[in-house]
Amino acid sequence: MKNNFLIALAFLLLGFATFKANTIYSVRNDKEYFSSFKKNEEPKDKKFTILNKKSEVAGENFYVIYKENSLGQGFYFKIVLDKNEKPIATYYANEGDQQISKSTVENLKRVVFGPDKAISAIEETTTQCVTKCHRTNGCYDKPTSTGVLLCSAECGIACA
Amino acid sequence: MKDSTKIISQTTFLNIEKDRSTFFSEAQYLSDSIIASDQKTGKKINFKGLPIDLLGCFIQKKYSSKEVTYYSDEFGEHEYRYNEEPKFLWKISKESKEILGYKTYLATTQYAGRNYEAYFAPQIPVQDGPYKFLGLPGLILEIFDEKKDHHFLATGISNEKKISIDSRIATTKYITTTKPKFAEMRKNHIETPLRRMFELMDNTQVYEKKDANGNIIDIRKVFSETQRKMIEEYKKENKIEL
Repeated sequence: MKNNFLIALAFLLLGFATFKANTIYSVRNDKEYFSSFKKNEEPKDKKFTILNKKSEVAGENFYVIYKENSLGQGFYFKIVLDKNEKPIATYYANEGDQQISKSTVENLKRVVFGPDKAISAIEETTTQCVTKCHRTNGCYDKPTSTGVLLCSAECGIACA
Repeated sequence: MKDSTKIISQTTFLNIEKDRSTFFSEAQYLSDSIIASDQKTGKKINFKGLPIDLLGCFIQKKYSSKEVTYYSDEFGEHEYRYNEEPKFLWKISKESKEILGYKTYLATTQYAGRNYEAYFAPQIPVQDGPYKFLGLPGLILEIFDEKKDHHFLATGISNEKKISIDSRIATTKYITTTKPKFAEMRKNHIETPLRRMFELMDNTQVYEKKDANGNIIDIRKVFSETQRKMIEEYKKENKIEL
């Protein structure tokens, strides 16, 4: 919605700006660009098909990545997250005209939400939350003991 | 988790190269990508929302020596590495089934307190498989223990290296140890995972801090509650090696 609004605004006020943006977009190799996850960006002119939907809540952010299956068929995989960064829906889009195989579609359905018959959501863990927080914030690299302690306390609060 | 009513799945990768392979969880790669993206955009990182890794390690195998290297990825302050040469005594049967279009044969073995059934593909002449498993005359496409506590199944094969954890391994400082010492260290760690913080608290005599709103936070209470949750989680974990 936000993107649509911005594009509409750009058309009304700055026609040349959208022209420039389109020019940049056409140069970009989406397969390469999306070889790692990109946040809130998706390839141009690709129609995404739903794989799973766990909630009717509107997504807050999404990530898109390009992959190929064992037959070399390319596709884009999209994960939509809610405001708490929990996955709520997944989608795929074929890279070209060729449809990816049914087995790949079935596998994709299980990537985030797991097998249909299972309780598949992996519960958040305080242990991993604290470890990642310590590591990312460099808690153990702080120059003083107090610095280490306060940094770790911040992580404890963030992971409570 | 040690809970027979729950099945939790996650994607793992076995990157096979000329002289070695690396086995890792996609969750770590995704976490790193999300953290890097949030740092780039200046967004506050939601650590609670990051993908959960069920492995807690990376495994590398050298094909020439059949040496397996375990890299821990679960502690934060120090990570550890140890080498192992697991001796898998495989019994190969004539039973077969098709996986990913390949004819695979059943083989059984025992490792670290569990009995395993594996299906390997002789058409893929790589003596490798998930986790530390190796030594069959073909790539292991499926392996599970008899209690089905752990089940690895190949869902795709690509000739291109899609994602890699190599740079993460290369930039992490690992303390080299042995498998028994690592097991002992981990056992002590999971009993009091925040011991270092309690020691620091006593040494610095800092027991309180102010939050963003100016409220006083009782640090001891925060650490006690966090450690209690961590110990509960460690009690429920379902490690591959018993």
